Amino acid sequence: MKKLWLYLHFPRLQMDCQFLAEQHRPVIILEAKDNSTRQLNELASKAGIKPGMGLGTACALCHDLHVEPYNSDLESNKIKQLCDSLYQLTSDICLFPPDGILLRIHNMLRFYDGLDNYWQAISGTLDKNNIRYHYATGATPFAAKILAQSQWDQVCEDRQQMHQQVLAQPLDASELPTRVVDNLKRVGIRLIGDLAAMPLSEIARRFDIQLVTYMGRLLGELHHSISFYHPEKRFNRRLELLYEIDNTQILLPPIQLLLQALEDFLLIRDQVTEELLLNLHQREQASLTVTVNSAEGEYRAKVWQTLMQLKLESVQLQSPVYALSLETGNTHLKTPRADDLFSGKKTALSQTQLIAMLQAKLGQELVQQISLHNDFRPEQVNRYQNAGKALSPLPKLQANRPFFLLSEPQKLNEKVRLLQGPERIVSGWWDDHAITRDYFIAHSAQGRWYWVFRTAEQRWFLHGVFA
Amino acid sequence: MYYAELFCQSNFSFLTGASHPEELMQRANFLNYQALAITDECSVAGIVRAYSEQQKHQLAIKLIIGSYFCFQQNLKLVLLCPHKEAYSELCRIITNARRRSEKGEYQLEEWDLKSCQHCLVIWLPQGDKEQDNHWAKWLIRHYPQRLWLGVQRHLTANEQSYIQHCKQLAEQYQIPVTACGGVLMHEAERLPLQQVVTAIKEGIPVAQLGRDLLSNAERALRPLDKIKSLYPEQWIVASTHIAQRCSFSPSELKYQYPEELIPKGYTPRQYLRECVLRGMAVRFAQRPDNYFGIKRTIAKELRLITEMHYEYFFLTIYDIVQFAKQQQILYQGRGSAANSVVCYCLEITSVDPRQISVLFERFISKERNEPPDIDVDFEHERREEVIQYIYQKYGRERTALAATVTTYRFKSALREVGKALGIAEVQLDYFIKNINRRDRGLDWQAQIVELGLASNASQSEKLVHLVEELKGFPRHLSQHVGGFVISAGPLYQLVPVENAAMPERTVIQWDKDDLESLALLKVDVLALGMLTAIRKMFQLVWVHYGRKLSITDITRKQDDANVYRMIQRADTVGVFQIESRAQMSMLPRLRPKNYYDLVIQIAIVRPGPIQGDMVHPFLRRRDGKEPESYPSEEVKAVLSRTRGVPIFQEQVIKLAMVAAGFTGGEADQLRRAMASWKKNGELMKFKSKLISGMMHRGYNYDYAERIFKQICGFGEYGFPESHSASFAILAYVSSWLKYYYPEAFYTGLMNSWPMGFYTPSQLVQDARQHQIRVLPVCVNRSHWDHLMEKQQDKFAIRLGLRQVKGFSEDAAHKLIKNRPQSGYQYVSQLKQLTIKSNELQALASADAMHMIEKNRYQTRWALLNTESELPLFNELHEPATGYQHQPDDIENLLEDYQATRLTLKQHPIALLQANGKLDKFVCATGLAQIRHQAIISVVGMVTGRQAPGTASGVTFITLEDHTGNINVIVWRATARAQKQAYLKAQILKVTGILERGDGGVTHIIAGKLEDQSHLLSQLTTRSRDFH
Repeated sequence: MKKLWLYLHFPRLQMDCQFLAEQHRPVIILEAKDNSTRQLNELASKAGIKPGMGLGTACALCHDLHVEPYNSDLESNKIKQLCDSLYQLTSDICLFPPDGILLRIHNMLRFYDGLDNYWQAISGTLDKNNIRYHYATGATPFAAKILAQSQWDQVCEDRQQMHQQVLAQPLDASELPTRVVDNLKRVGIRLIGDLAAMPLSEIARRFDIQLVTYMGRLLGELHHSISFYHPEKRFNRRLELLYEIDNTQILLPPIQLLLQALEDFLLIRDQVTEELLLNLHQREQASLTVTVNSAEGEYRAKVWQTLMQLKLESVQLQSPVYALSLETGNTHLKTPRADDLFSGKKTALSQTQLIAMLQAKLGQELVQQISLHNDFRPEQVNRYQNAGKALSPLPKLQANRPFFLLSEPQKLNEKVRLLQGPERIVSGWWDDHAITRDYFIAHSAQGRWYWVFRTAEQRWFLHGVFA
Repeated sequence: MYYAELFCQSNFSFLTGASHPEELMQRANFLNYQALAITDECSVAGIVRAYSEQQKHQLAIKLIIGSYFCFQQNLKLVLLCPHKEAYSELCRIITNARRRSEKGEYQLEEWDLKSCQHCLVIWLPQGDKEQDNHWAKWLIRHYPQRLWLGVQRHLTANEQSYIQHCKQLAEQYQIPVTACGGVLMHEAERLPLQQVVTAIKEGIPVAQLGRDLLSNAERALRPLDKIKSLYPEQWIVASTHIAQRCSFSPSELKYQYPEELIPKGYTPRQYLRECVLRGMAVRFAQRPDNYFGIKRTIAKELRLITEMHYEYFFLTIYDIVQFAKQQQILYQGRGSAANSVVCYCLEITSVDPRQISVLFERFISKERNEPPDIDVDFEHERREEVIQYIYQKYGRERTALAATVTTYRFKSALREVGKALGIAEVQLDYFIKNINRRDRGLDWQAQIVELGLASNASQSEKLVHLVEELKGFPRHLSQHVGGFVISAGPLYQLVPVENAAMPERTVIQWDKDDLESLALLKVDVLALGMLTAIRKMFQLVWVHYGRKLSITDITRKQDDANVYRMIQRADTVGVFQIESRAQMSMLPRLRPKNYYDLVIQIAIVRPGPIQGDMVHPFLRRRDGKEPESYPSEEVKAVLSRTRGVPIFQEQVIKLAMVAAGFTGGEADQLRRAMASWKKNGELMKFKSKLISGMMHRGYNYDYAERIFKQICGFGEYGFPESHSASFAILAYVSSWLKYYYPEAFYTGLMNSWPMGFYTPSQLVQDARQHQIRVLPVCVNRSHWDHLMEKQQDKFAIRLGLRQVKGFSEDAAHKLIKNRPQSGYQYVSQLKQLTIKSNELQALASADAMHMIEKNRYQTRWALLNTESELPLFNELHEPATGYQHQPDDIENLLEDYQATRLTLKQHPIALLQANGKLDKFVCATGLAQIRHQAIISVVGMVTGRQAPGTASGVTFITLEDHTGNINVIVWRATARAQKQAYLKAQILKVTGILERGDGGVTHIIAGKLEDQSHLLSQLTTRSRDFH
C-alpha cells in the first residue's frame, strides 16, 4: 500500500494557549536569544509588527505592546497533550517539537472507511482545543511537513497533485540548513522543483550528502525512518488559563477539565492513584502545590473533585494564578481490595512528605520554619519562611546579640545603666523599612541585661533581653 | 579645637568612595577642619581636582596628598607626603604596584614598602591579635619616627574591644595614636549612593548585600564637636601634628623637558632660534612684501617663548614633525600657538602668515598664564608609527599618555542603579529603548512609574535621585586619544603611571584638565583621515601626471576662483569639513570666495552658532540687509571681522575681557566652563558677572543678555578660530584636488575609507555624476586598492579588491602575485590558489570574475564543482551542463549591494522605474524646474537620517536617486503619524511641498511618507543615522 502521511503545524501555539482571550491589546511572543518577534496577534500585526522584527522596533511601532518571552517547553507540553488526545484516534504519531505533529495514516484509513472520515475525526478533536493549525497530506513525512507549513490546508490522496505542490515550494521552507539554501539561491536555484530538475551528478559534485539525502527523503526515493510516540506512563498535564484567576472557587472548572483528562488517562491504563499534586502557577510568587490524598486508590474525576474542593477551601491565593498543572504520585493497577477499610495503613514518611502532608492538612502558612536573613536590622534578621525551603548561610557578625528579641520594640520605662555601645545602625532605605538607631547593652536595677536603643528623636526602646 | 582628617577616599577610589574630591574639600572646609588628606586607594588621580577646588575658591583648609594601600589582605596603611621627595616616592610605589598588574588592579610587594623612606605612615590595625602583633613589629622596624597607629570610630558592634586592642598595641610597641575617620563620603546623606556603588562593584543588588554593606553613615565627614566626643584629645591633637609636618603642594610640580632635544653647545633659546631662522630661509625664499614685518613678529614671538620657558615644548613638537616629514607622513599642526610665524617656520603648520595676519593674536596668552595649545594631526593610518617613535625615543619611563576619566552617563547610570535596586534588566533595557526616541517631549523622570520601572512614587524618587547623583562619577581611567606627557627624568616622580587596556601602553593617572590645572604641558598626537587621503591623492598625481604636490604648494597659490566657484555651488561631496548636509545647504548662501570666508564657513555651521542664533544675523549683515552696529570701539575690534556676530570661541573670551572686565584668569575659567557646561552647568555662574560687568561699562541690558545667550548656545560646540583656520587649509586643498584632479581625488578618498561623511557608494555616485567612469572589481585588472586606469585619453577609476566584502588583503596579494600575464581564464585556476573558499565566494558574489564567467550564478556554479579540485582533473574544463539559471536585473542589483556595498549598474531607483514599479515622481536634477511651494513626489534610497538635537523634533532625511541627492525635512508630527514608514523605510517615497530658499537651496517638506522598500527587499544599503 502506498504510504500516506499527514502533518499538523501549529504556528502560534503559545499565543493561542495564553492569549486567545485577549483581543484588546497587542501581544508579541519574543525569542529571548536575539530579541526577535516570534509570534504575534492581530492587533500587533495591524500596528505593523512583522515576524522576525526586533524588540526595539516593535516597541517603537506600538507603545502599549505586551511582550511575553517564548517558552518552548510550554509548546512542547501542549503538543504532548494533543498527542495524547489524538492517540485515542490514530496509532502512529510522531512529535516534531515544539510545534508540529506527524501522523502516518495509510494504515488507519481502513478503520475510518476513507480519508474524509478520518480527517473529520482528527479535525474534530483538534478544533475542540481552540488552537490554530495548518495541515497537509504528503507522500513522505518531509513532503507533508513542507506542505503543511506552507499552509496548504488540504488532505488528498492524489499523488500527482501532492508532488506538484511540493515542487513548487521554495527552498527556504525546506529542512535544509540556511547556509546550503543560501548557496543554492546564489546559483539561482530557488524552488524544490529547480533543485529536483538538476542532474544528480552535478549536484553531488557540488553539495554534500545531506542535501542528497534530504531530497531523496522528500521525494520518496530514499526511506525515511520515523520513531513513533509512546504515551507517557505518568500523568502530568498543564493547563494555561485564559485569564488570571485569584479566587480558588473559580479554579474549580478548569480543575475539572484536568481531572477528567486524568480519569481518561487512568481508565485506559486500568490504574488508580492515591495522591494528586496540583500546582498553581502564580505570577509574582513561586507556584503553590496543593496535595490531595485519598485513603485508597481512585481514578474517578468526581471523587477527586470533591476532595479537591474541600482542600481548596483552606487555600488562600496570594497572587493570581495563570496556569495549573496536575500530576499523580505513584499509580498502580487497580486491585480488588481485600483488606479492611479501617485497618489503617502504616506508611513511612520522609521529612518532606511529612511537611507536605501537614501543609496540605493545615495550609501552607501554618507550617513554617525559622530562618536567618542577612540584614543589619534586627527585626529583619529573624524570619519565618515556609517549611521545606533551603536555608541560606549568614555572614558573621562580631557582636553581642540578646538571647530573646522582642517581636516589637517596647518603650523603655525603667531606669537603666548603659554599659556597652553605642552601636549605630542606619540601614534599610531601600525597602521603606529604614531605621536609625543607636543600640546599647544596659543593666537594669533588677539585674537584667537589656538590649535597648535610642532613636534619632531621642526616644528609648527595649528590644531584647540577654540570658 | 583643631582636627585634620588623614584618611579619606573620594570617588576616585572607584566604586568605593561616594563623593567628588571637590565636595570633600568644600565640606571639610565648612566644618573647619584644619586639613584634609585625599588618600585614594593606590592612586592620586583625584588630588588635582581637590587642589583646583581649593585654589579656585581660596579655601582655608590645607590639602594633604596621600594614598591608601592594602598589602597581603591584612596590612592596611595610609602613606602621606610631607614634602616633594615623599611625593615622588609615593608615585614610584604606586607606579610599581600598578605596573605589575592588569589595568585597574595593583599589587604591592614588600620591597615597595621597605623602600619607603620619606612618607609618613598611618597604620590601621585589623583586629587580629597575631597579625597585628606581627605587623606592629615590622612597622616600627622600618618606619621609626614616622609611624602612627590610626584609630577609626564608626560606632560598629564591638568597637570597644577593638579600641582596647589598639590601645594595647600602642602601648606595647610605643606607637603614637592618631584619630582618623576612614571617610568615604562628604555627608551622611550620601549613604544610599555609597551602598549603591558597593552593589555595583559586587554585582549584587543592595537588598541582598545585607551585612556586607556599611552599617551606618559614620564614614562621612563629621562635625568637630562629634569628633571631640568620640576621641580622646591626645589622638585629635596627634592628627594636627601630622598635618603640620605636611607642606607639600601640587603647585611645586614642574618637570624638566628631555635634554637630548638640544645638541651640545647650545642653550634652548639659541637652538630654537637657529631652527626658526633656518626654516624662515626656506619658507620665505622669495621675499614677500612685508618681510621685515614678519621678521619683527618672529622676534616678538621668540621673546615671548623664552620668557615663558616654552622652548622645549616647541622643540619637542618640532622633533616629532621632522620625524613625520622624513617618513613622508602628512601632518598638520592646529591650535592657537600653531598659527604663529614661528610654527610656520618650524614647519609645524602650513598656514601662511600672509593669510593668518588677519587671525587673532592669541598666540600665547601671557596674562592668562595658559600653556600653549598645539595639536598635531597625522595621517590616521600611520599615526601609530609616530607614537612608536615617541616611545622609542624617550623610553617607556619618560613618556606616557594622559588619561581620560570615563564617567557615568545617563544610560549607564540608570542601568547600574536600576540593577542595584533590583529592577529586572529586561525592564531597564525596555525603558532605555523607549525613552531614547527622537521625540524628547516627556522628561524621563515622569515616565518611570508609567513604564513600570518602579512600583511606586517613593521608589521612583529614590531611583531618580540616585541616578542624578551617580551621573558624572568616575568609572575608570582609560587612555586619552593622543595626549603625550614627556619628561626629562622618570615620569613616575611626577605622577604615577599605570597600565592601559591596550598592551604596551601606559597611562598617567591625571587627565588633560588636571594637566592644564597644574600647567604641565602635553603634546597631542592625533589622527585625521583626510590627511591620509590627501597623501594618497598626491601620490596618485605624481604617478599618473608626474607632478609633485604638497599642501604648501597648493595654499601658496592663494585663492583660486575656479575652486571657490565649485565650493559655492555646494559641489563638495568628499571635501573636508564642508561636505555635510548642513554645510552644503549653507554654502550657496554664504558663498565663500577666499580663505577667511572658508574659515568662517567651517566655524559657523555647527550646532553652537546655529543654536545661539548667529547664522541669520551674519548672513543678513553680509548681504547688506541689516546694518552692522557696534556699541563701542572695543567690541568693534573684536567683532568686526565677523560683522558683529560672535562666531569664534576667541571672540567670546575677548569680549568677556574687554566688554565685561574679566581678568585673564577669569576669562580662562569661562572658557573651561564653556567647554564642559553640558556636564555640569557651570556656565550659569558666569551670567550675572558677565551681564553686570557689561552694564557697568555702559552696555545696555538687552545687548548683554543677547551676548550671554549666544555664549550659552556656543556651549561645547563653539569652535576656536585657530582650529578652523587649520581645517580651512585642508578644506581648500581637498577642494582644489577635487577640481583639478578629480579621478585622483575620489580614488585617494576611497582608499582611505572609512573616514568622512559619505560611503563609497555615495562617492562613486558623485564621481559618475561628474562624468567619471567607474570600472567594476575584476580579478584580472584590480589590485587591492582602487586605481586610476587609463582608458583612451582619460582616466577611469578601477574599483579595488578591498571593496569586496569578506575578501582579505592576504588573499588579494595571492591573487595578484599569481596572476598570469594574460589574466585568469578559468575559475579552476583561482581555485588552485590557496585562497579560502568563502573568500572565493565573496569574489563570485561581487561578480569579480565577469571576464571569465558570464554572470555570478555561473561563476558560483563553477566554483562549487569539487571535481576540478582533484589534481588529475584540473586541466579539464567542462562546460556546465544542464545549468541555465541567470540572475535578473534586480537580483544583480541586490547582490551588488550585498557584496560590494555599491552598484555600477543601474541605480535601484532607475531600475524600479524602468520596471514600472514606481508611480510618477520628480528626480533630483528635475527639482530645479519646479516652482517654489509646488506639491510633488520624490522617491529615493534613504542614505542619511539626521536628527540634530537643536532643531525641535525635526529630522533631515537624505534621499538618493539615480540623478543625485534630495533633501527632505520631516516634522515631528509627521514622523509620529507615519512612524512605520519614517523608521523602517530603506526606499522612501515622499509627497510634500517644495521649498526653495535663498541661494537656491531646495528642500521637500514631507507630508506623506510611503515605504517602498518591499520593492527591493533585502537591500543592504544601511543609512548612517546621526543624532
